Amino acid sequence: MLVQKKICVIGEFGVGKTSLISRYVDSIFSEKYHTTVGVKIDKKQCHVGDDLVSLVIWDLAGESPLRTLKPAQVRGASGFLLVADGTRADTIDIAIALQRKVTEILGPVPFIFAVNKHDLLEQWCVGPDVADMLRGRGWDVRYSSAKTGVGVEEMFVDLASRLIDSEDAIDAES
Amino acid sequence: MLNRDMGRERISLVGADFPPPDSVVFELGAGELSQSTASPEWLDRLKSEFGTASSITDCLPYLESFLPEARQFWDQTRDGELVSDFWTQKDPSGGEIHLLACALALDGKRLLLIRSVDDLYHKSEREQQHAHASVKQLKLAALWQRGLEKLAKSPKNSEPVLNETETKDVLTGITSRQRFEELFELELLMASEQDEPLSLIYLDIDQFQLMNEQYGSAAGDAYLSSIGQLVEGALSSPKDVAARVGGEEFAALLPGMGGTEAVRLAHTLGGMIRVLRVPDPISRGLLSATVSIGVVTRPSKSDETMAQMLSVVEGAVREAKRNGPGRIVIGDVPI
Repeated sequence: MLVQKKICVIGEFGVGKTSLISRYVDSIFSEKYHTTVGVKIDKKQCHVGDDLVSLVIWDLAGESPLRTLKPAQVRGASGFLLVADGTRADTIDIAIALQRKVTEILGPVPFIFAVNKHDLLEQWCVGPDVADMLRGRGWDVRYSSAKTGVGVEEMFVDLASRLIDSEDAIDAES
Repeated sequence: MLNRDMGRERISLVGADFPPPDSVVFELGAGELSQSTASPEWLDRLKSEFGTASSITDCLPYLESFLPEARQFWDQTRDGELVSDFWTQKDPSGGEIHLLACALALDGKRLLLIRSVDDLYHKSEREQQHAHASVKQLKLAALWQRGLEKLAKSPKNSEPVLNETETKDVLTGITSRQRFEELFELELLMASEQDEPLSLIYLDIDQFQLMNEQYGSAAGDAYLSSIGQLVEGALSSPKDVAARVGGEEFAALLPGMGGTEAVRLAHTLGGMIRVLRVPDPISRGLLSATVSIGVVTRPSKSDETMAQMLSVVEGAVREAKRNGPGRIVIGDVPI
């Protein structure tokens, strides 16, 4: 069965949202920094059990998203990927605030928190204690690198899988 | 004036040659959008992916977010326009199309104009890249400034140095001051988000300098290391943070813990340290000391900052010191 799901990719500017999507959708990575203006929409299909999931991925521009995030652009999403940059501690704080803001709009939908730029691990200012703390709060924290591809495919597929599980749970309740 | 019959072929008008239009217009009537002008080439490419029976939002998914806003605008406005954000989507060949939608109210007509905007998009992209570069430079400059200020304040040849570029304190192996402050800020955010209290215990070893002078710095280091391990070992939740925050000062950051529990833990820590005996690596004698302790709790639904909590807890520790060794003082959070 083909199921279409909208997901949003959210995070501070320059954390690698667009690069993660390009790595997942097109298997490419560019060193050049391309800022996203407005919204960028991509599609990719993946298999989750017997279902074929068509992910409609909304890449929301990272221009001070705490101030500019528009509820209309988030609405209708079944889940989201929250992205921070391991080399910039401030992006973690912003991600935490964004998670709260998006959850206010969507309710408790599935999400994965990607601490990106794992290829620059020696420059990271985010230790495993931060991930442990967030996991302690029930967050699904992953390390990823759009450059090397580490963790990227699994992250999107696992999110798709959780969207299906969440849909199944809602169906079972009703 | 919008022309219903506008085609894609080049248009000649009074000798001038105009390129084919790059936009498409839809009109809202009886709740449905109907296409009023011919499809530009980019829309044909998008339609080819979905077939002729597809809806406009299948081809242009961004409209799912813009149309509710546009409908609200049409309902409220006599004449005018509402412009969407830029959006980018791919055609079937993977090429990017940059688009902009405009909701128009014109002589009672409710129109939706969508056009490709490559030039405008790239201009905005350049401007945004410059803005991002400026923000990064400002943040970098602020980091340098803070580093210089710290360097200027730190006394030369001072007490054991904390490695501030690392997350761990070199001597004790527990969290460093710098990392402690970063985690503190994060926990304040989380406490606000979760409506939870946050407690902080500060411990200052009594007469530590005397121990250092009497037994030497190797003994002092051994004692500090043992205290660090003891404090960390006494914390039960994975969210708790034990840190060395100064020469002979330690902190326990306790997310979700209320005041009563925090004071109880402070008593436990004070008692454990009082009975602790650490072998002096040189003389083989046993080192012991007491600690002066300050406790502060930020209740749920409050907004004290890290600086305010630190100021209060440091004041509590000073008061505990004044009252005699081994005392505990509870600080009041400032209003």
